[in-house]
Amino acid sequence: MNEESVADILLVEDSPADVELTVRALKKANLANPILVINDGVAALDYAFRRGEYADRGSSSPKVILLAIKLPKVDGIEVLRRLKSDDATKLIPVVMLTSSREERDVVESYRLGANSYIVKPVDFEKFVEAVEHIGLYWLLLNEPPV
Amino acid sequence: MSQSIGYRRDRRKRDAIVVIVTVGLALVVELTYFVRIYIPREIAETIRYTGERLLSVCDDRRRTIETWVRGRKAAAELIATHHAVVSLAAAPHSASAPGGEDLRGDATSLLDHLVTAYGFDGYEAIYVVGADGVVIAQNSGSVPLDQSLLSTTRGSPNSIDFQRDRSGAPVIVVNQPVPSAAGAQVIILIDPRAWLYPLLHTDPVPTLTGETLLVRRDGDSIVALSPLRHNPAPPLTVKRPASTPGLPAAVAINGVRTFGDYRDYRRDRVLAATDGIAGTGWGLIVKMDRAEALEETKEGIWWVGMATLALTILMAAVAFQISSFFRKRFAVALAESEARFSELFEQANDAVVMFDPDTTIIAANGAAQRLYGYGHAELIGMKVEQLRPPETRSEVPGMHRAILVSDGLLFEAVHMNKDGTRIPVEVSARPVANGTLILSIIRDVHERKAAAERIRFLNRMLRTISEINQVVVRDRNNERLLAEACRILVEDGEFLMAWIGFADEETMQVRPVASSGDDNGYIEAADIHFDDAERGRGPVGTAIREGRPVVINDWTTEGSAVPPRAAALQRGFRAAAAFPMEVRGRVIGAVAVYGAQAGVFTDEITSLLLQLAGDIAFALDTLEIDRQRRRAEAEVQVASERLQSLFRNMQEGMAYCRMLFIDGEPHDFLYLNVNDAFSRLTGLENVEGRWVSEVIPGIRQSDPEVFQIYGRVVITGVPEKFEMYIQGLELWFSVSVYRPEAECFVAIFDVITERKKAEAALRETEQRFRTFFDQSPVGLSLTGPDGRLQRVNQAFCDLVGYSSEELATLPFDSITHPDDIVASREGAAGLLAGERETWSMEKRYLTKDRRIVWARVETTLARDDGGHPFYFLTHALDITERRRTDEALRESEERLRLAIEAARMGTFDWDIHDDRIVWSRLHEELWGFAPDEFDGTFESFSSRIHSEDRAGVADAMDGSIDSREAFTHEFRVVWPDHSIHWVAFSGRFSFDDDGPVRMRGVAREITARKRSEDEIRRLHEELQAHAAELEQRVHDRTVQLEAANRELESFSYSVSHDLRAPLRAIDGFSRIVEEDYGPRLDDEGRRVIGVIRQNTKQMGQLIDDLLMFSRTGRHALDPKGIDMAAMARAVFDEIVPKEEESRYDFLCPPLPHFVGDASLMRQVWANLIGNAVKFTGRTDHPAISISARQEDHEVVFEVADNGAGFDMRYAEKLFSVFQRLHSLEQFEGTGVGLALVQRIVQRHGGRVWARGTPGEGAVFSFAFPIVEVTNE
Repeated sequence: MNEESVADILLVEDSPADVELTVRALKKANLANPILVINDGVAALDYAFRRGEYADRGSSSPKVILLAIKLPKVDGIEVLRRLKSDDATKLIPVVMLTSSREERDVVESYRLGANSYIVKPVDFEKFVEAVEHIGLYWLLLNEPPV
Repeated sequence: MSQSIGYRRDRRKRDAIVVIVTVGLALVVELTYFVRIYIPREIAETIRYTGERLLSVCDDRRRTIETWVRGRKAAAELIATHHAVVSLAAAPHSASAPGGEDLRGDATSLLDHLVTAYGFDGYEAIYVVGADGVVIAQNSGSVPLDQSLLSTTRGSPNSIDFQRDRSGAPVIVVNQPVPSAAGAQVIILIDPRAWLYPLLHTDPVPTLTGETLLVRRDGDSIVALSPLRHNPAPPLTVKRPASTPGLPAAVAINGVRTFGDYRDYRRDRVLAATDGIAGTGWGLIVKMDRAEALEETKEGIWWVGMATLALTILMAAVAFQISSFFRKRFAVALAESEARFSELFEQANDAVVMFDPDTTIIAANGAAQRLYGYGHAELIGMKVEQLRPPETRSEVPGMHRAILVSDGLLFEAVHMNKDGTRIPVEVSARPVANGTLILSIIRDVHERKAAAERIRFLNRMLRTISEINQVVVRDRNNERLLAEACRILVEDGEFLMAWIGFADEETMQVRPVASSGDDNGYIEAADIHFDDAERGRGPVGTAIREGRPVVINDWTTEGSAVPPRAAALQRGFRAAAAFPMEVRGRVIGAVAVYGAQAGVFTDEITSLLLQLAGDIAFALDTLEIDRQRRRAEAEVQVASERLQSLFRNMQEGMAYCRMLFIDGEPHDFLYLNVNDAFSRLTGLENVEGRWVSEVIPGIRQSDPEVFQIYGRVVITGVPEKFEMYIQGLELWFSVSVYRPEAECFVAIFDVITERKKAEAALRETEQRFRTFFDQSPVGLSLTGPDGRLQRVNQAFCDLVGYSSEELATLPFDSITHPDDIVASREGAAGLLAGERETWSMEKRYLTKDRRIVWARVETTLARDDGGHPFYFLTHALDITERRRTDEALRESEERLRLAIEAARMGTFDWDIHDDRIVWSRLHEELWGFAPDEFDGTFESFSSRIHSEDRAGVADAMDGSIDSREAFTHEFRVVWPDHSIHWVAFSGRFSFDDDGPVRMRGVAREITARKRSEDEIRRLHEELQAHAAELEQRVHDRTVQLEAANRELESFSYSVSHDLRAPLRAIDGFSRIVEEDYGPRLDDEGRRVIGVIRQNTKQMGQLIDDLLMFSRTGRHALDPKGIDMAAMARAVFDEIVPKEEESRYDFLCPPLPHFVGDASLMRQVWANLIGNAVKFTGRTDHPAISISARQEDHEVVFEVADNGAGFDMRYAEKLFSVFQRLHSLEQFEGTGVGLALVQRIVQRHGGRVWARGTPGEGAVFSFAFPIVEVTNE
């Protein structure tokens, strides 16, 4: 748990393939920040609010949450709503990751306070570029690496 | 021999002792004389002589400076009393007012002129300063006044003194109060370096240490005002305590004229003359170092001493010789000795002569021979008297005696040489050889005397010039001034003759204007010109032509070619000089001076006379300026008198007043001058010098505006013109007012009370007419003979619907109905011709909104006094209503008749009293009567009414009688054949006092309508039953559809997410294989990976297109105005990369705007233009053309290309989903794009179609019903 507790990037994604591709993309973007992967919405909320399985984790918050929209149990939109409605977590940047181009998802995410919205393109290069952009923007630029 | 030798030795020894003793004694005597008498006397003499010289220079400088100072003060006074300066100083603020500019201009030009004229004196700037220290006027181009200079001059009016300006440079500040304005002053700044310092530094006789300086008291100190010769510190910085002993400045500042032995600022011994400059606090010192003054004397003493020593030795030798002479024994020795002494004689610079008591010369040296011009032999044996001029020879014996009884005498005398020339000499004579001989040492002091004479002459000239300068300042008359200058030159300057001539530029002749001394007709004879010819080569001509002094110091030896030489010499003019008179760079004439002696015109004299000529020229110029000023003033005086005359004689009243302001508000004004008309017009007498509040008591309260207006004019200087009723005088005035000078105004007025009364009466009449005209309910118009409406009233405006302004621009004809124009014109022509007095008609006006208005018009023609047509007065009464009523009645009757006939109505008229019914034939038919069957009774009428309906008819009639309103009733009529006919009966009763007398009405058959109504009622009931069922069905269907739609939406949402996930994995992991294991794969392996990735990409695109297609069906439209052309161009730019755009021949003209969903419409363009680009991909010169056209009921947009095209056989399939006409190898695509286009166009109510030819291109068209097209 200690390793997980220092995660800079929390990736909430249930598709193992997308997890692998995203992690790979982050690494290729030269982001050495520790990444914690969580597979469903309930676990993501538990982690964020330090309860259940994650009740004992360290007090630091992730620097950014990459949040898929389609998730088992509680979907990404709901997770985002709860994160952004709680004072403890609403300042954590959240980037929505999804393959959906549905307008209602985009509108709803921004309405709830998502910081960015990345459509997971099937094209791998674009995806890498998009994730690199997140990495640079939210981690490198906000807090330069030592 | 030995004895003889011994004797000789002995004798020689004795002689030597005698000689030594004699020489020793003589030396003692001489030394005593030198030290005790000669040297002190020489020094005293030199000091006295130097004193004379210094005092003379001092006097001259003092007079010159005093004259100059008076001149500067006079200039300042001239400015201070100039009218423009006085006016400006009296009212400084008027300068900023418009009228003040002229004053300021006058003042500035005066100052400019003076600065230019006195530039020679070093004028830097002239300022006129107000009491508040603000500069009111200054010469052009001068720097702003240094206020520090002002502050030091304040309180010491009419002063002239040195100051240091901002840069520390000395400046002379002349201060002159403006007499008429307290506190105002004129300030002149003069650079002393221009004139004053050079004057001080010009020494007539140049010396090594001589110095002239000005000083001033400065508290306990004395400060030097001029640059010092021996101290480089600038003027006004070198100070010494006033108590310093022996300082000449300490005496000078007290204004005491002294000469004496002083110690100067260096503490060196000096000889100095002091004096004070009148009118200033300055002291003047002319001094030179004592050492230099005495240097020459010391040299003389040295030489005299040496000569005396030599003489003493000579004397000893003579004594020795004389003893030999008496003894006769020492002849040889004596001769030897004599030869030795002769040598000494010859060596002496001074002439040495020895003579015996009867004055016969017995010895004379070479210097004596050179001095007197006699040979040695001639001199020896001459009497001493012969060396003197005859007139003083008688003095010789007395002198001789005096010498013999003295130890030696030193005296001055005049000797004469062989050719008779007098030689001033200094003689030192003493008896030698026990009084048996006299030795004289004679020094030629000719040179020294000449120098002294030169100085005396110089001083005389300085005095002369000084006197002339006095005249220049004093005398304001040109001729007198010039004559006086000539006279002084001759009398005081001791010249033979002097004259002044002016150069006449036209004739090139010099015109003599003044002369003095005896010219013996010289001037007239000379006929002097100044052109560059023979006659212009004289001194005067040359001086004028070349602007330089011309000097001929001796006409006998020089100037042989100068023309008037012979005439001059003939009249005893040995020397002549001419000096140009220059005024502002132009030579106006010359001063000519003639002397009897050769060489009188030394450099110093020349320079002085040149300066004098300049002074005279300057004086002439100043006088000229003065004269011009006086002439201008005289002209002003004349103009002023003319104005006075005008003022007195003008018909209008005129008052010249000064306004009094209190707290900046006009309070009262003073009548300074009024003319005769003033009293005549206002009835006010003796107002001059009185305040208006006194002349017209209470005017301040009754007529405050008068003060406001006058006050405004006085402040702003803008003239005003107004008419006003003055309560205080009960008169109307027309007044023009302007500001002649600060604080004053001039009001020129006329009493216009009569005119005002007439105007008021006229106005009242006019007002009455206007009221009548404007408020008349009848339309009134005044029309000019030209047919233009001059004036209309509101009723007329209302009639024709135009405003009076609009009517003013319209010809009368344009508001007249075309059919009535001819008649209207004829009527007007009849009036103009005088055929009738009035003319009336009913005519039609055309209103602004093109309505026709009927009016009864009545027109009269007004004529002016001369009988000429003036205007038409037209009354127009709106009779449209009446006309309309008549018309309406007629039409209404007609319509009624038509309606009754058309409606197949029967008319009915029942006279209740007579029980007679008169009805139309149609009515009879309605009741089923045969013609003439109906007997006309009510009984007969009602018998045919259905028995069940009779009561209802009766009730309706009773109700109508009660309510006195019309009634309508529907009832059945039963015909004789028992057929039943429905009738609608409408009627109305007429009444008299007793009750109903008559009923009129109409009836029509409504059987058919009644039947239809029954049928409709039945059908409606049936329909109601069906409708409820249908509504239920629609509701059920809608629920089903909504569910299906939701399902579909959910499906597509899932597709978009879930169908993509595996694709992303396939693509991503294929990529990983490619990246990480690529090198390990063979070509085939890599190709297969590429195929996988290509297909996933294709699949992804397919999913996107399908989602878009499905969404288009569900998407709610958001209609907005769209610029179709801009959208098409933007789409093209997006699809085709910038660098490839030039490859396409893309044509997109302006297209109609369209109202639709912008994002969907963009999709249409994107797909069609995208297709066009795609299918022209293999064409060499791709051309894509966008166009639009309007057809019957729709607007058609088209995208045409010259690409691959298609076979029209498959045109149907083009717009179906997944239908492709080309293989993927040829052109990529999913087959969804055109289906999407069709769906979008159809959703907008339009249609889409295509035409194509394989290999030649395709045209895709889509069209929308025209109602949706707007052209913004």
